[in-house]
Amino acid sequence: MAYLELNNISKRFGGVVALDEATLHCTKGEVHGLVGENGAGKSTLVRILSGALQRDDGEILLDGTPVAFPNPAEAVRLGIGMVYQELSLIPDLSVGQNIFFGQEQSGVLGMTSRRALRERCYDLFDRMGIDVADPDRLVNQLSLPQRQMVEIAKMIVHNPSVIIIDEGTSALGRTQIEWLLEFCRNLATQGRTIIYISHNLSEIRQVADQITVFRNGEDVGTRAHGEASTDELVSLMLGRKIGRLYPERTNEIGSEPMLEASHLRAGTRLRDVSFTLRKGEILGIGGLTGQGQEEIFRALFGIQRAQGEVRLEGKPITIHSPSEALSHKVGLALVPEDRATQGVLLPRSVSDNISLSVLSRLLRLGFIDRSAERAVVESAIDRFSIMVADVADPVESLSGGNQQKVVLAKLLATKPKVLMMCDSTRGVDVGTKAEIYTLLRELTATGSSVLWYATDSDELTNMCDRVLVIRQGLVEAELTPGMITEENIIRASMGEPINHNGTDPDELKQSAGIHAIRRHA
Amino acid sequence: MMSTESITLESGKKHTKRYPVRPSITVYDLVPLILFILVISLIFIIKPRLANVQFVELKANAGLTLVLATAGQTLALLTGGIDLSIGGVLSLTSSLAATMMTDEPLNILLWCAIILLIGMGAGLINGYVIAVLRVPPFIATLASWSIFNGLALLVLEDPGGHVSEPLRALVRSDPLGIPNSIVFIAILIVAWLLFKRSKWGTRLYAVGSDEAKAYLNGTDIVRTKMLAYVLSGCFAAVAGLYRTVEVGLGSPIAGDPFILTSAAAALVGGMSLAGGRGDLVNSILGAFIMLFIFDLIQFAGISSFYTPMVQGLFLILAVTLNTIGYRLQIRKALEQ
Repeated sequence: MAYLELNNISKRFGGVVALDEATLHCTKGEVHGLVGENGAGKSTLVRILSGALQRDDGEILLDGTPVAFPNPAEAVRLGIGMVYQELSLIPDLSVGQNIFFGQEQSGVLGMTSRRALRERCYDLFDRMGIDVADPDRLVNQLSLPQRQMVEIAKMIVHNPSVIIIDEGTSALGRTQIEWLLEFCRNLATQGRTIIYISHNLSEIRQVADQITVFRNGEDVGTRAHGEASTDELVSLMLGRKIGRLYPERTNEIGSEPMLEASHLRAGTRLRDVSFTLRKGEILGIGGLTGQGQEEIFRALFGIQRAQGEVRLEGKPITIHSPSEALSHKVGLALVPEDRATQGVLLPRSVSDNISLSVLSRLLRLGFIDRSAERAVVESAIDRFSIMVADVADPVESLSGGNQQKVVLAKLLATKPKVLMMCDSTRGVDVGTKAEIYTLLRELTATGSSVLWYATDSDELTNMCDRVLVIRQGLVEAELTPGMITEENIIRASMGEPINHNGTDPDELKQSAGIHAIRRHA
Repeated sequence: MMSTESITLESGKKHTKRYPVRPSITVYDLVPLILFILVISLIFIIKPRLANVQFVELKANAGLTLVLATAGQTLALLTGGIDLSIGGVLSLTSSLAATMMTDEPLNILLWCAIILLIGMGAGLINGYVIAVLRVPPFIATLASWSIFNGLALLVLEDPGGHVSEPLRALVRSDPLGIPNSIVFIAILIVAWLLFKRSKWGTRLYAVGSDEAKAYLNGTDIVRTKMLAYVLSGCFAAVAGLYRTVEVGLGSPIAGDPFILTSAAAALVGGMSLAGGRGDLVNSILGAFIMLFIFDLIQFAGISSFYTPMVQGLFLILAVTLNTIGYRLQIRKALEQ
């Protein structure tokens, strides 16, 4: 019998239906995978379960008893533990204060001592069997992977019987992901129920006993472990047989260079990187995470101070700020990795966000020409098929994939010469990814160039004209057409010599412990 | 709820990394103290003979009103709000103390209680309007400042009234051999340090740091904000009473100078208008910095007309230093 039943749950946001009579049944001791495109309603469903949102309709049964979660505190009390996609940590409190928030064991006069908190943290980390972070550090001083680990630790402290992990691995490294998957299996063995949401199908297929697919706010099918192929899951998610995920290479690579960087050096990680990006080219940047790839983008976009020389269309340039990079005569645009904090103004409308980057071109006698603005916004919404009820809706009301499309729309409105993608498709659903890929091809066909750091080696092999693999802040290998294979990318990332004639990449991936998403051609 | 320690997480215990213990106070937290020492050193350089016990006592007595107002303001700022009504409450309680209080011990006790209740009531109203009706704190407390100011004018038209002599004698006495104002500030600091580490202290920081996330963590946002504004109201009420006793007369506009000075003092002390950051001890230092700038200008023989200008420049200087410190701290941590 199902331990947790969500029956016919419906939820609307304004005019947008997020959930339409969605149903999910989970038994004790199972890991239940939830997959679906962004905006399919997975996050909304689990946020209703965690008390963060209130359902409009439907019922929730826990162990056969109807329950209500009017607020997150009540859900936690009834044994629901949630790892939020956007994290629920309080930035100005320490790791320890966050983990034991609301569970402070009062010492003398109701005080919680730093030392006691630290000991409790270490005790918890020991029992989790993994290093999380310095308990005394403030959360706003942690890296994203560390925050994600703290979020997991905080969830487990309440000893939940139902555990929800909503995109809990997007920022984690390989060993941490391996740990989490095993941890989930252990928790399930103890009779807990785990709901695991991820865009990474190989992760889901590895960990889940049951997989439920969501589409357009409904559950469209449940498959047992090993019963469904990736292809079947993807077509369930999309509701149609998908054709090619990656569009044909149509761009012509020019001979003249668009962007040349020589001896770039920034921060502690980026030591010495030089490259030339030609007109109409998509140049991929690969390698393990944290090898200095992000610094390349931060340096080029003027967010981080760097040494080295940068030339645009042959002319040396120095960029001190994003506004200089985005300006008409430079034309460097960056699609950041963390759209929530770097890409968009969440509380502002879709319309404001799109027009903001091109305001100076919409001026008439110093005032904004509203009809010109509307034209720009509407064409962008059309071109990017952004799902929005009203252009005046705030961006934060959109799903993650649609938010990322707003970022792209905003940047492409500036007609950039170089579009820089910094792991921009992470956490984006397959359907939106396919649209983004098509847009990139269209962009390069018009003579613009793309510099693309991707953690997904599939994207590098299928979308890029050349790939630079960065290791320890240096260019480890340059892969030219014919040599761009997943195997070579993985080999170069680990400092192994690259292979000029193809062997079976799967074997190497297994030995490296990398579980790449297996995609259909 | 089962206690934390009862969770078994299988696969045995593994000894994970232990991080070196760092001091809980960093150099960035010391910016207000450094500025405080700078200002007071300048005063003593200009007037070396002021470096004595009487001067300290005099300044503590005179500064306590601003310290109290700043303490209240700090709590409001901590939640990401602001309390402009401090001025109105201070004026009202100052006027009441100067008109209603007699020399009778019972009457004194009664009015002390009423004054505290007024502060509490003001805080409850502010808290309700802000947390439940969701009116932005600036607007809500601007309105209540105006209302309490009006009430003060009904109680006392012009500065004046009389001071309850027994209360004044009590406040001025020094049973411990040190002035009561210094004892009071010391108690305030100790109480704060305890409160900061308590459940409610943590919640106050959490709400100011990120309200939505504090809610996801089970914080009662309404009660937490209510608490901040009630405490702020009480501090303002006591400040009004103290000012009347200290100055020797009440005034229906006594509180007005304290509205923005209390906010400026807290900001000099490293508070952030966005909330979630700062410390009451540093705010108190901020209050004294603002007061000593006034003295410094006077002692330097410069016209006191320059005081607001210098205070303004100092506010920019302090906030810039605090902001740079905050950013450096994050950057340094992330680079490790």
